[in-house]
Amino acid sequence: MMQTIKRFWKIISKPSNHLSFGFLTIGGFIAGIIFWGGFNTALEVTNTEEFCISCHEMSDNVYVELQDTVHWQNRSGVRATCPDCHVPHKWTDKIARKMQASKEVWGTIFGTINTREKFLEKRGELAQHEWDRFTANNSLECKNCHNYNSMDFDIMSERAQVQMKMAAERDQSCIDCHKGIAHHLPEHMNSGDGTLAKLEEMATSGYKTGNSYYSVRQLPLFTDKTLGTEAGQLNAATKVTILAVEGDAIQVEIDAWRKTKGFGRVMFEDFAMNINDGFLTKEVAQSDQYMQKGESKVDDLTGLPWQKVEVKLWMRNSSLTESRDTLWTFAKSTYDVSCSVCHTQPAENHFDTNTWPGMFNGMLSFVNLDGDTQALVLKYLQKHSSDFSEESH
Amino acid sequence: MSNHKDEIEENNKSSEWKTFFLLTVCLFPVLSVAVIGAYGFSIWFLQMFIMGPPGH
Repeated sequence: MMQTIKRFWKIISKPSNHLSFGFLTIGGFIAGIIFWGGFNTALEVTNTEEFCISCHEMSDNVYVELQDTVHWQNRSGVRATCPDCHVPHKWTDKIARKMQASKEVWGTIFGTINTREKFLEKRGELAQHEWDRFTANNSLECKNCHNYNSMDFDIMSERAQVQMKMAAERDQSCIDCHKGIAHHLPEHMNSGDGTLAKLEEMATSGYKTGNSYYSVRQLPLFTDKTLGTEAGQLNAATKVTILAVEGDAIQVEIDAWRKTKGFGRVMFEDFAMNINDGFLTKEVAQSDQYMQKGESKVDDLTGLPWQKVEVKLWMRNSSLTESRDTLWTFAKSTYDVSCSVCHTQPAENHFDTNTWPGMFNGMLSFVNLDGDTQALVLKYLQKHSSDFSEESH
Repeated sequence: MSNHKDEIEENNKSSEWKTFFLLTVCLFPVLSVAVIGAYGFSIWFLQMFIMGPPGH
């Protein structure tokens, strides 16, 4: 053995006697090309869906779930395969991910998730890995296909428009909202499912002029009855008084307070209380046409000037309810269920109205609530905070 | 003496060919894959312990 290595070393450490300089160079060069071509071909083979689903863990679980989604089949016939979303496209990250797959090989050999039950038990942890990755790279793999700049907001539904425009402004990571878009969500996270429908169910109909109602969710506001020009957004569980009903459109009055520093776009329910009633576009907020201004006061605590405004705008003739009680019941159960997953949730009146938003927003990343539910739960907490509670805390 | 030298020379031609193929076909490819693999693993470990998941 030693002898062979010695002889081998003797040959490679000396100039060649029989093989020409040109042959060795070209030979090495060509061998290099063949190797690199072969290496990349092999790498590409491991980057195909056939390869991914050759393990039953993938083909029986996540692959089947994908087949019910828009990423599998849709009207334009473009589909995403496993590596499109789950393997980084940049070379270094890709190689790192390929090596990371040794963990998956290990898992297959030792049967870590070889049954559906074991898989379901691990789903939360596995999903979290992908969410962490998508959060860190700002959903890079989504954005390889989906681009905020190429989105036509006009053909989106109104509800989607509001959310997507805000997201585009901040170049938000897609996964922040679109968890569970290609595979099922972990079991305890399904609370977000169908909330929109649940909220809409609470809406009543046949609104009468002069009466007051509450919005069941975030709703778009418009400047006139054609509902053509956006004027802002009404927050969930916000009180409006009907001024006129004209077919599909209703004119509403919102009694609110706003801070007169800046553009005064955000409406609040009461003086010095950061309970959000919605926001106005810059144009509407700065125009006198849509609002009557009332008294002005300075909040001593913050030194900010506040102004009472009666805003008159148009909205769709739907999604309002007569009382907030049903909304509060829903908000309370959501709060109890979602927030007790990790800890005992604090009593509603443990904080005051202006402390809740900070507390609430700090916790949002741990739960999966859609925007409407978030707004509703926050408002519920604020309206039941120590400022409104009978028992002192 | 000269006999002995001839013997080595004779050996040399075929051993040089063998060595050439051993290097280009086996050793270097295996080494390359090992180096790339080690590189990948090191990035992965860095991501796990220091850098966090790959950003952009």
